[in-house]
Amino acid sequence: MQDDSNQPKPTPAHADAPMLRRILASVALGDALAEDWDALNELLVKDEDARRFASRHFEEEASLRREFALFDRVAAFSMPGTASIEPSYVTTECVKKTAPSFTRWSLRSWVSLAAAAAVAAVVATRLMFGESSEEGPSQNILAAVDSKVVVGEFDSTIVGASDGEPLHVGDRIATDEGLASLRFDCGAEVVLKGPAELVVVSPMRARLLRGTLTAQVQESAHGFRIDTPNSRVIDLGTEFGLSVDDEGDTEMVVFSGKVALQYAAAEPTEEGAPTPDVPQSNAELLGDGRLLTDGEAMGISQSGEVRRLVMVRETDFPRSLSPNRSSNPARRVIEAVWDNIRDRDTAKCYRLSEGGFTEDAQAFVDRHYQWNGIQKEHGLPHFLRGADYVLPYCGDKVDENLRVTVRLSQPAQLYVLLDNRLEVPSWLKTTFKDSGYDVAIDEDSYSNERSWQHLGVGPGELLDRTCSVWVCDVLQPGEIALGGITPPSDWSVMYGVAAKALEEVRDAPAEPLSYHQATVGLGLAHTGALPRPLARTAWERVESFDKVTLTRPSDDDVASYDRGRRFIAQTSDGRWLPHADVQVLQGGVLPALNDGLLSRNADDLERNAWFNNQGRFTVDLLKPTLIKQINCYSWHRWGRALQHFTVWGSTAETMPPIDFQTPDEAPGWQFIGLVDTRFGDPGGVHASQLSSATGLIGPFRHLLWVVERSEQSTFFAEVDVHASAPDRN
Amino acid sequence: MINRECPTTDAPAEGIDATMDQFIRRLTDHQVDLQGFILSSLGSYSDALDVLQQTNIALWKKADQFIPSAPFMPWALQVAKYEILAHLRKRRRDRHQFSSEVVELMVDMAIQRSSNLSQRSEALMDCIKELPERSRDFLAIRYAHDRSVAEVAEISGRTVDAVKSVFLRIRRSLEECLDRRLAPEIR
Repeated sequence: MQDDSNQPKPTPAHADAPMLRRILASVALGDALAEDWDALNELLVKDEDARRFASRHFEEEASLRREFALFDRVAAFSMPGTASIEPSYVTTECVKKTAPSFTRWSLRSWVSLAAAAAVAAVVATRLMFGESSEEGPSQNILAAVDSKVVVGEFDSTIVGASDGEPLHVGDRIATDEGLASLRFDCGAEVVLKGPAELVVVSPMRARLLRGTLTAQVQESAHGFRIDTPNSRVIDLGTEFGLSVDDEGDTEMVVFSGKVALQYAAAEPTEEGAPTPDVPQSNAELLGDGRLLTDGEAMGISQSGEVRRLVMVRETDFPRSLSPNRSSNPARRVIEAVWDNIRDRDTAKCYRLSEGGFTEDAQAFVDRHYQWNGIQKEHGLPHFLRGADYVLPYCGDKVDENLRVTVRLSQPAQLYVLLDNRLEVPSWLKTTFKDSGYDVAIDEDSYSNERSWQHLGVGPGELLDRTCSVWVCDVLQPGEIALGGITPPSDWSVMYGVAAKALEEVRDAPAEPLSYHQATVGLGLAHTGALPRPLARTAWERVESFDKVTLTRPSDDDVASYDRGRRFIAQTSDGRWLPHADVQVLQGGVLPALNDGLLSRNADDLERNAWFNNQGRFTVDLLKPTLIKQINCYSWHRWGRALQHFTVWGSTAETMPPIDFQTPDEAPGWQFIGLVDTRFGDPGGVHASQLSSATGLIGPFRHLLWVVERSEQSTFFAEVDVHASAPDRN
Repeated sequence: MINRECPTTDAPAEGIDATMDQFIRRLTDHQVDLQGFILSSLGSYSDALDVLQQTNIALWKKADQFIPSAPFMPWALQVAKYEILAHLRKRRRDRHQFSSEVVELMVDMAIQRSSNLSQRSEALMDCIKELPERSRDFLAIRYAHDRSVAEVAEISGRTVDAVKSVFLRIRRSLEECLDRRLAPEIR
């Protein structure tokens, strides 16, 4: 109760002010007793100040009621698959009795009355049709899927719900089995999986009393919050899942973005400990809180103990309204997955997808990278399609002795998908076999360092790297332990894990390995997919051309413009053309590559040649030449400094066709070497050098560069070819 | 939240229609003032609703007496006072209401205070906006569907006592805000 003695005296300066306040509050709340009224009446008759105060109080009350009773709907509720109730039941004709301009609050009260009456009618009708909630969906027009919805006042029942039923502050939703959608007008979308109970507390807040939901929250609704009996989840961006079981145990998973999770500590703190009357969950001070991001999860017991959630199933949370592939234990291959990383070292949570390995499947819980087939025409290898798979996490790999254990529930073929840039760990070599098939990963702009990357849709689109598929036949259900990897320290990568039932694998059609290998030009070229190079590669990243420590750029090399050599942009059916801003002379000549002029700044459009996508250019040295070095230089403020290409040489007089996709299809061309500077930081000058241990490459007359596709195609400032001494003219 | 001014038609019509237009506009604009007047006279919200209804009907019937240039409220309040007293005669005896004597006294007080009504309600709107969101959500739970204290407690996950506490606190802070904004004679 308020202590008036320290407050500045408002009206009235009155001995009975606290009592008057209290009684007026009770009156306003509707629970004043007869005795209260008696006292109030007595006071008001004799005291003008009291009347003035009371008058003010009621006047304010009227304004408050009007202001808040005009609260609009805050969300729309729907259950797909339910028959719609005719809108005329819920809106009302009765309104027309009152004059048009009257206040909305009276409209509202008419609506509630009418709705109640209408609802009674609906319920009666359902009983007439003899619909029982045990039956499945039937042909009956009034049939709803076996779900009951209780919306609004505690006693009003709407069975089934039309699309977009308006929800207001205070409405309570209770559902049986099935999925329901709540679209909050603030920009949060909630998919609720029944049996569940949820209360709308405000335009940006709900309480989940039990059941499971996924919330997807837009920018505009950051701060959207869902309370459970023992926690609060505040969305700071995008998508999370929340589940409360019958014991009040809460589980929360962040699919994407960031969430602030607050929970009451298991042991209350001394100060501000919630009094016994006030439920722990809504104490003003919730003891602990954490920020959780993509892939992280947490469990909170009813008594406030927190624990790491090691694993959830994709099917546990209703990610969308479409009838979910629900969990089928009989078909399951991967039963569980866990690791040996301590709870306090990570909050990351594995996700199990049953049968979910398909094009564009999310690869990791904490990245939005996608698995894809390498080649557009062929997609993922058939034996992998529809496999159960694990979404592991890339970050938080603190332990060198990582052990990931996978439990299989039936005989299966187990796959480990290993990044081709990585050294093959010994545990993988001993237990698994390289199938020879590769798959690709499509990366998004996860890190600032690759801010230009986008996700493509489907196989062969905007892919970024490849993984080799390692196979192990597991003949008995049981647990398999997988080990760790040793990437460079600033990388965060992880292998993928998938499994298919052995009997299903036997049915999969055998496919040529070449369907599932990186081809030349698509952006995925790596040493594993190429023949042995004639040259070795060196490269460096420096601030400017004069800081290059490898051979400096030259305008007098054997491929220079002044010596009559021309770099020609090759095309095949109009593909692989240089960018529109590049100067191209007649015949496809690219003078920028060998005019000896270097870029003047980090974004020089005039002195560079670059491509839209993949590119191929050649130079005819006019006679077979022994080559000492092939050097390329690029300068850009960000992604176009990176170089990724292969170089090929031909001794023939006439240049062989250049449009091959794989080394096997390149008769007449010999593979000189691969340059891939994407391991370095973008931005600055990248200088690469192909040279031979013996000092000589070739002799070659024609040279071909196949520039790998990139979303930021390389700015080639200069390409130099240095011949060995006798061939220098 | 809905703006209190409910816009009616776009362009005022001519002649009699223009007057009607004005009348409707004024009546709509002052609904909350009328409601405040009636509620502070009767003390009971449900009674106040009924009487407001009656008042609106009575005003509507007297619409031809309406003079656009004359102040609307004094006229409307007189009609409202009439309806309040008529209600007194009709209503059942109940301890849970203002006694008739109190009603008459409260009507007089309300009329006394009526000249500054609009200033007070404007200030109140501002003060409501200054309330923390938590408080506004709370008020919404209570008033959006006229829920009882028990229901508010259930929905917000608190005890009944806690709910009453919160309400007292909110009303108190509104009062203080109004005292800051309004001169004593206007409050």
